[in-house]
Amino acid sequence: MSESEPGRPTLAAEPPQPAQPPAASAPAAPSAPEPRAGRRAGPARGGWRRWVKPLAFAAGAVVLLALPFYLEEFWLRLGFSVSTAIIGAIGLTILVGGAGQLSLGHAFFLAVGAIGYTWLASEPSTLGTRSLSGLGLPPLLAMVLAVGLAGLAGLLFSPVAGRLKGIYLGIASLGLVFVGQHVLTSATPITGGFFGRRTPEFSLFGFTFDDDDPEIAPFGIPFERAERLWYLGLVLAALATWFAYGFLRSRPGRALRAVRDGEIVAAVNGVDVTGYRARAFLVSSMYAGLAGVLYALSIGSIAPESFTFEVSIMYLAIILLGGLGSVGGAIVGALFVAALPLVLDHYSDGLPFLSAPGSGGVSYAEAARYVYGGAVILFVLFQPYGVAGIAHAVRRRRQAAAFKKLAAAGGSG
Amino acid sequence: MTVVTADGGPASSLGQGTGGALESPGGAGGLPEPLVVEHVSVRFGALRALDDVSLRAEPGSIHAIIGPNGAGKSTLFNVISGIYRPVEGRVLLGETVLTGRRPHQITAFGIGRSFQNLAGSPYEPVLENIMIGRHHLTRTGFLAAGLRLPAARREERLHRARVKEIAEFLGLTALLPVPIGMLAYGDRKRVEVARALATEPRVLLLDEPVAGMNAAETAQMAATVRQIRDGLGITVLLVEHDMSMVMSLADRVTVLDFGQRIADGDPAAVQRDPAVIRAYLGPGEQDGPGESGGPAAAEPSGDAASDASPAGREVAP
Repeated sequence: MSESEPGRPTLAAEPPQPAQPPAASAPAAPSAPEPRAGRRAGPARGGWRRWVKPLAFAAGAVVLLALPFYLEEFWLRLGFSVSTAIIGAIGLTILVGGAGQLSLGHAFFLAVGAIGYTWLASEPSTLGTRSLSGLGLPPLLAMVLAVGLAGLAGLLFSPVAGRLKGIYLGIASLGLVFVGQHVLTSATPITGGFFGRRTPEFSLFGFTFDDDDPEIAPFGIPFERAERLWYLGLVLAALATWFAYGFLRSRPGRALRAVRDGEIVAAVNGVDVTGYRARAFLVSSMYAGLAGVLYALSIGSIAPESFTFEVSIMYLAIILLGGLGSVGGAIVGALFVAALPLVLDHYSDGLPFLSAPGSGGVSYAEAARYVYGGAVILFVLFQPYGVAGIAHAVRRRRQAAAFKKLAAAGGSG
Repeated sequence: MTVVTADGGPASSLGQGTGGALESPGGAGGLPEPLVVEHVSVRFGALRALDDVSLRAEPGSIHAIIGPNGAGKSTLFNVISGIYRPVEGRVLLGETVLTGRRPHQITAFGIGRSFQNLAGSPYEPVLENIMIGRHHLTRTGFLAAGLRLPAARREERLHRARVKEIAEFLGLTALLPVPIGMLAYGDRKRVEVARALATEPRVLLLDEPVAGMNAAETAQMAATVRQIRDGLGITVLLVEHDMSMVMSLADRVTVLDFGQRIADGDPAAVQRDPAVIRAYLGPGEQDGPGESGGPAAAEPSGDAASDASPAGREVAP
């Protein structure tokens, strides 16, 4: 190590000399103004096509921002739940789809986030015979710290997560769920024990995400808890998506995919395989932690039953339906899986085959599980790459056509 | 044998044949150092996949490693790149001991490698697949990339530009946006070499770069390998079954058989070596050891690897 000559390590640290381009690229680079190679595949794009994406994006944003003016509370709460699921699902798809690692312990990190936030933001109190502790921190700080706690939990587990791969990590992480359940039921002062405890409302510099304080009613529409949380969920889900796209499309994402597609090749390419597996797990657990905080806010309380193994499975179903490794897929999957039970519940009066929970028939929750269980089976059989796979197939067909045209023009050897 | 190295300063560039000019990044040359394999042994259970193998690849040369299937060639590559740990012996780059380090650290010391099998992410475009080679030269982490910090964007831009140069060098420019799963076999092999070059190696291990290629593609690849040596001053360690390519390209040849080094020398000498002819043709079949068409005419046959052992499989990544 010390015997390596001093000139050597600088090669690794040194970026390519930017001063070179005049010599290197001037004779053979008419391609200078092209910002992204990915764009070049298509035939010369018509002017209007470039605007489709941003316009659709802007229109979508406007609609989402305007919805609280038109929707009733139920749909807004549904939206917040979906935002929660989107954040959690992005976290899982980074790990499972991005790095090729299976985790059944997602519920544990959700729990860490939820407990962390609740404990950090609550004032100490007594509930019946139980005395509950809490730090009474400002909710925003509590949220950030709760995400940090989930990350810390992920970091503590990452020596395991870095060394185990695929299904083996799945089994190991399963243990976390049971640890989480045990902690939830037994660490009563923090978690409220078996019966759980209330989650303090979120607030941002004095602006609470509750029905009033301060009361606001833009355009005469009272903005209460549901409306406020809708925007909170929207903003956080958008940030989580933006952040995930940022690193998945750049160096860290490439490294993760390389590890997924062949760890020996990845290692020879200079990727620290163990390190990247561990990092994927860390990032994934932080996303789960944030989702946990939002989940606690949406339910208004935490209880052991909210963070069972089934929750892990639900998140796996989301990313399976959406397409592993795809952020967009995770969003679509979350929309479907998180919304379905609530929607079925909402319309259960009108749906003949559903009955109230406990009355012997099929309850909405069971029905939803049947539906997305069936959907998972169908997808695995017929569309193993999920919704994202369908989008990919379309894009590939277009690329193939462009490629053929290129080959016909005598482009390549 | 001409040994051209790019020590320091702007390296010489050659722009002919396959593509445009490629310059080695400034200062990457450093002192020319040989890659030395010292008495390396690897065992898989009772099998000696490599038995006391030594070789010395001079800086700026093309050093071929040949031998019948199962001779231990890929095992040797795996030892050099740190995937296998030898039970005895060590590998050095100049004074630096590589043995005992992890593969990604060895890459950072300047050992690049292309794989025999088609590697990479099939749905990712050529550009992305080559970009992975820049990993150890770049620093952007999750946070910087997620937040799209200016430093991260700048780094990405610089390295993309360099990757495009490398792609041009290999004649891959037109294919940059194409997912590698859609490419013809020969093109994919060139992507592999481009990817290995993208790590800016000082020693490049090429594992059967022309296997499965047609004659024209083979000739093109041979020209590329020559340019890699002459233009970039990179030492090339070449495992290849195409004997005519090996004999015309290599400055030196090491022959392995059943994990042992049976010959080492310049191509002409190795071609005449009775032990080499025996290894390729089997004992008792050598009619005229001096015949120039010796091993060159003998494509190694599968039956030379009668040991259906781990070494025969030689680790498919």
